Amino acid sequence: MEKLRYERPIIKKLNVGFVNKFGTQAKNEVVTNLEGVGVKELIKEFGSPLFVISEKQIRRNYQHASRVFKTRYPKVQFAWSYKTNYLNAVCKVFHQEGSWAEVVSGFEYEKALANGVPGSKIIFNGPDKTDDQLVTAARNNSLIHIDHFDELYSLIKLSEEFQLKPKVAIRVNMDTGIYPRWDRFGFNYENGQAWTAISRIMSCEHLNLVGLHCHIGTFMMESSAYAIAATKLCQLSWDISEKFGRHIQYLDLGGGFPSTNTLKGSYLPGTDTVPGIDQFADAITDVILGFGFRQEELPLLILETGRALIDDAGYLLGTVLANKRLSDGRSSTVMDFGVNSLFTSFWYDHKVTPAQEGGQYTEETVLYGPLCMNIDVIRENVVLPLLKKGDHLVVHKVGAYNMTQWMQFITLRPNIVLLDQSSHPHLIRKAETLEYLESVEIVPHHLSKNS
Amino acid sequence: MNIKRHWGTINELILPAALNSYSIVFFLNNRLFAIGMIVLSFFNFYAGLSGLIATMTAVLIANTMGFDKIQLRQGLYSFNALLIGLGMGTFFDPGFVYFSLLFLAVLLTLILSVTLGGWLGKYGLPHLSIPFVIGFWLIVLPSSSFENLGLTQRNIYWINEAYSVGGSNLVNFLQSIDSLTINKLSDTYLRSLSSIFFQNNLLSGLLISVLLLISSRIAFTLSIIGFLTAYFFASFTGSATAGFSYYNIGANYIMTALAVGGFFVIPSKKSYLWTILLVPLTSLVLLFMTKLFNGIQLPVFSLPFSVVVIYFIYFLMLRRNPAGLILTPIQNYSPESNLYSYANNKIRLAQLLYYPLHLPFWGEWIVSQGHNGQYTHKGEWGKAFDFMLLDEEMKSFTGNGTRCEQYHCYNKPILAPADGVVEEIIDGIEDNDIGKSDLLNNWGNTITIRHLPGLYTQLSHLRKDSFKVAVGDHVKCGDILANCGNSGRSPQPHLHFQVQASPKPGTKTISYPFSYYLGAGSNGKKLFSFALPVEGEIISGVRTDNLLKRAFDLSPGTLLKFRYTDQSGLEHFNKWEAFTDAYNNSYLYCDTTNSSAYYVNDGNMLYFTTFYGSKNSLLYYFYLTAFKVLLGHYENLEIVDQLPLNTLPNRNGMIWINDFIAPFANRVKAKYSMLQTGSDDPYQPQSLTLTSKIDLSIFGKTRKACSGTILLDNNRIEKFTFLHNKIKIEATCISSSS
Repeated sequence: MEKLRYERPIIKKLNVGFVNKFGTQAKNEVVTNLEGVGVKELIKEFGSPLFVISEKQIRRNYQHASRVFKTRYPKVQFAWSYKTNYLNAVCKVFHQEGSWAEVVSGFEYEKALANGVPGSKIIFNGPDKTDDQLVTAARNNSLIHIDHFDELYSLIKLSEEFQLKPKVAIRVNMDTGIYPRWDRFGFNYENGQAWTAISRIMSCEHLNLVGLHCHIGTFMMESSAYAIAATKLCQLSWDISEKFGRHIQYLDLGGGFPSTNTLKGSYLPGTDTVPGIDQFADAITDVILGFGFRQEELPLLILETGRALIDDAGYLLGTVLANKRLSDGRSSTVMDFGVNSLFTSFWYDHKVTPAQEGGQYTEETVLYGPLCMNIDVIRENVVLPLLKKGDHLVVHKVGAYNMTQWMQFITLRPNIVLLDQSSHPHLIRKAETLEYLESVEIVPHHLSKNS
Repeated sequence: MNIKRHWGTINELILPAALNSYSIVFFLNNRLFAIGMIVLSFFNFYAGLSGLIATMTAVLIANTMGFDKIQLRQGLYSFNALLIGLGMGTFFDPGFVYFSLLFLAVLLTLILSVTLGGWLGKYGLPHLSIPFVIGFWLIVLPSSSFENLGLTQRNIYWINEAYSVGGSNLVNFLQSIDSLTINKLSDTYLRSLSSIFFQNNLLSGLLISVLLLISSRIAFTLSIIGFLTAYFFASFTGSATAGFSYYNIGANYIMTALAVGGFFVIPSKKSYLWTILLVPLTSLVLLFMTKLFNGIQLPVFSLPFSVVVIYFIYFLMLRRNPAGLILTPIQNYSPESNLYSYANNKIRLAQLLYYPLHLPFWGEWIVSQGHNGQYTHKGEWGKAFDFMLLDEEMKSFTGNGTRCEQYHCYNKPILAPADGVVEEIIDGIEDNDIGKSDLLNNWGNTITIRHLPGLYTQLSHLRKDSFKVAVGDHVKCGDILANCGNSGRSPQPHLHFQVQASPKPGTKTISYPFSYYLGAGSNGKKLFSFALPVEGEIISGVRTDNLLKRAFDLSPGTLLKFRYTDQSGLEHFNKWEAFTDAYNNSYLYCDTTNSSAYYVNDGNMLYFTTFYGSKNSLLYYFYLTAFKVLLGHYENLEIVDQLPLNTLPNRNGMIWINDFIAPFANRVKAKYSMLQTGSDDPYQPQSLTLTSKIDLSIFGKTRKACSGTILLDNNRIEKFTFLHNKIKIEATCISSSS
């Protein structure tokens, strides 16, 4: 007979009376393996903490989103939002599936090129593009999305100087009934700024206006906002063709579709409240299809969906460092990963599950990271079984933004593993080492002498 | 200007008409052959001369009187005049009276040709040489009363004739050939051939047989088959003494073989077999007629052949199911061309019969039930399709699949498969719960659309209140009709699609293909044309592209002007214009080379069907390069097709050998393929390069024949290149208008 697992004793308040309308508490979900690969084995091989990305899930997400749009609208193109996760392996999975690249900096632009994306399939967004980068993008026939007048003027000047004819679009910001309004990017629709920019571009023979772009926000919970955005872009496109006789080739509705993570402060979990991608697709395509474009002149619909395609393909595995009782009597657990690796724990109440079978008892716990900083809280309150030092936890839906916004702070960044379609793990980013970190440091001569 | 116009008429009408009169006698349309025959006809000088005079007279009269220029050009009005000229010149002495009579005879033959042609033409039958026979009878019988017209003995003393033309050298030469000791069979064969032009010498026979071989391997083979059959039949029955003359074999048996074996019928095993059967039959008719007409002193000439062939064609025409033995649908005046273009058209152009229907949805759907499916597509309702959406795990739903909304295809837009008018709509039926079927309202919410009289499509199980169109609306292909639902006999959301002959929902189905769609190929996507998708196939529609559509919009009146340099560095200009002929076939015509390339543009595909004219023309190179162009922009999608062998650039020795066996088994194939290789934008390219090549597979060995590229820019064909052996053409468009 196997030795019974030791579990520390707890005292729990006994609830008597009727069950409330939410029913009894569900049994704690245990995730011992990811796509058939044991968490314990993964940690044993690649160390803890460890990011794990599922290639199968990425492809499933992409194909799902692609099908959802392409069965509703004849011309749809996705562009992978590099900032969401620009690990080369991840980007290449998206490009293999047919995704273009959407980049917001010169560094991302170069990364996309290096990943084999042809220049004409790179969308260059963002407020920060240097002159050199603009010229390179124009020469590569990339789609340059102009963010502000200063950029527009530089691009006009550069195009004249270098005899270029870049393909451009303008980013439009607008009131879609959503708060906060993202009016810091692009040209405003309501106050006529967008139209001024369009007129300026149309009067410049060096710029080729091919598209209109908007990005109304992030983690949008309201599909109707996209309908409003689509209507306004269609209206602009229509006006352009009326006034200038120019047929706008594409409408880029940007990103912002939510993943099923639970935002902090939400009463119900994200899985129940977040609209499905179908609803967004319906809202957008209904507007464009019904706007009155001739069939052969329907614009290409570009989507820069990031989060919704990658979030649930990423996991963070970690190990319990210690259990502590706080002064107010609450239980807390210290993990070997913190907000430095799991940046999104500032936004979400991440779903956390134990990676090994435990007893039936659970306890409300505060989940801390290992940093010697007070802000290092992963979950303020999570119901977990009674954990021991050395036990493993799995944090779910961490694929978006963490592996780009993470901080090298106090600890070094961990390994990242990709589970391929046959669940074979591949190390796709090595854990950082002191040498790696110091390879970019330069100690001035007068300090380098050991005295 | 006037002179130029006259010269144009002479060059484009009179001259071809005269030349074709000579070659059409052998059912060919070949200048080399015609010139050979003209030279040969002058071996008997006056016969040749009166033949030429007769032909020119008939052609000029027919042209002046305004008869059909196409028939005139083919020599159909004048070849009987040629025969009568040759015949009279052979049998009568030249003189004033003779030429007057010749003129009358030509007039008579022309009248007979036109009227007989008109009468028989209604039934699609040829008049063959009946006008000549009747015309000659009308001269021969009265001729004994014309004292001033002398019967000639020149054809008996032909050596004198030759001497007067070419002196002793020619006589010696002719005699040496004529006295060549070759075997009896060859001798008879060659003399029989020469007798078709009323001659009896080996040199003419030899020339004709060589010309036949050069012009058509099939015609040459058939002439031998016809001759041998006649020869052996005569020996077998012992009828040699009665009906065995060179003329009888040449004019009747050999011509029967040429007509039935390879001209009016597509050359095949069966046509060759019928040739072997018909020659003895002709022999019977010949013997019968000879006996019958001897009494009234009329020679039968080629009457037996004409009668047998005309009757046989009519006999074939009355068949209900002409399997195997096909009457030539489009006459190319060459057995090889007829064979190769028919074989090619049979594969490629069967689709012309169909009205193009497109898939009624966007994206990649699966055929969940095909024709005669196992669930509900039974009996008269068997020719239907059910479509569904599956995900990567081949599941049709997410979650537990208990609600319609969880199904991938639910609520997806359903499109009009082609232009048409909405005939009927059934709406207001609720979606079923998953797993339940509404047998009361079998079709659920349904729409039927009329595309053509007798061609309706029905789309069923749609979602209630989702119709975007109303009864009586005109819909365009690709318009949204309604959304996919789960009403009627539908246990889970899917689309039912069927083609039927009447507007009422649920009438019996017709098997009808989809025009173009993409399915799974051996590597990547494959284009299917006019095919029926089968159960389990995952398919998506073809999206057309504006650049390709505009560049290849060759609607009638379009003018394309090109500048190009040939391999010797000379610069040329070339102009093509798009026309539509009387049968509503479109073609590009180049007047400098008098070439035309016929094409079809069905909105999704532009493909050439055939080419007539000069194989050194720019239009011909374009025909080969742009043989089939998909008007949608797809990278890595290979468009393949087969070229008719008769329009290949060079017909080398192996293809000649193939000509001999092609009626039985064609061993040469010309595979055309095209890829879109370079574009500046994956969705709406402004500039696009198409690369095509033609590979020849000759007796199992493949080699590259030619290749080309087409650059599209500025919404037109900006440039095209063609590469074949030493020919290297780069043509630039200098103007295009429509």
